[in-house]
Amino acid sequence: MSLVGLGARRYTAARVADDASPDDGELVRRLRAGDEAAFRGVVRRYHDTLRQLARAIVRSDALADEAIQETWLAVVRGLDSFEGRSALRTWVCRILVNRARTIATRDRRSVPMSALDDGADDGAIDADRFAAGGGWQRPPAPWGDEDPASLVQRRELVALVGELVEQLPERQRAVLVLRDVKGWDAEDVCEVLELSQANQRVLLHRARAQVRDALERHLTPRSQP
Amino acid sequence: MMSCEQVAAIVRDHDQGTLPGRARLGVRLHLMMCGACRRYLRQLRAAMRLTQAAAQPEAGPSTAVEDAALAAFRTRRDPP
Repeated sequence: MSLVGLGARRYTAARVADDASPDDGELVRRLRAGDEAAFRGVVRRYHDTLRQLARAIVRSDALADEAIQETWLAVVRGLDSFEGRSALRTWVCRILVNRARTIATRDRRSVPMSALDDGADDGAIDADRFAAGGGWQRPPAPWGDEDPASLVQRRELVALVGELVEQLPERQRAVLVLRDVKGWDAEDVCEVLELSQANQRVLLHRARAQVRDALERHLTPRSQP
Repeated sequence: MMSCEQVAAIVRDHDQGTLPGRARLGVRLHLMMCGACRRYLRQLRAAMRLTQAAAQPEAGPSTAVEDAALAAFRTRRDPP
């Protein structure tokens, strides 16, 4: 039995795994053999994922490009030692995350507070919305229109969400992008970002709740105190 | 009986397919009776859809990025 029949249609990730490769083993074999077309294909196919991941960590497109370039150099150097214990995609993304973090640290000269307190703790989400017994104290206000297909046509809402996502702490943004934009499963996200399952879940929930909250503030301005 | 707070946490997961059968039934029953939680679920779905829409995919790597990557790849094949 599913929950799907209730309310809106089930959400499906529109661009699920556009970075997935059908057969890593064969691909890695071709890369090791020096197949330039195969390499170019990987560079192109992974690019958007790498860029989105890098932008969660560094603060400009130029720095993101720098991290991506360094990643490909490291991939080329490391191809022979890649053991295939994780997927090629996961391995490449882990390299990217490490490069981007190094660049971000250099860029900021120090670790910002937001990286240390990004909401991966176990604290309740939206705690102020619920009464002690677990019922809604401040229930979600109606938006008028709650149909995803029509909301997504409104440019101001897309822009609003884009800005909110850009302001999320690094790990929340990275988890949100990989799960909800790229359609990755939790396990791969944990491996790339070196998170426990529990932390991954909390970060994802916080990020999703914040996007919803931002929309609520915009769509029901009078509901806010 | 599940509380709204518990149901909200479960629907934020979105992937209720992984819930054990009894919990799934509990959520389903709760949602049938609770308009506020149904609205929360609807709004979360809309938020996720907008998150996707907001992440404009880039057409592809810049020429500089791609050229640098390919140049590195060629040195691997043909060591200088």
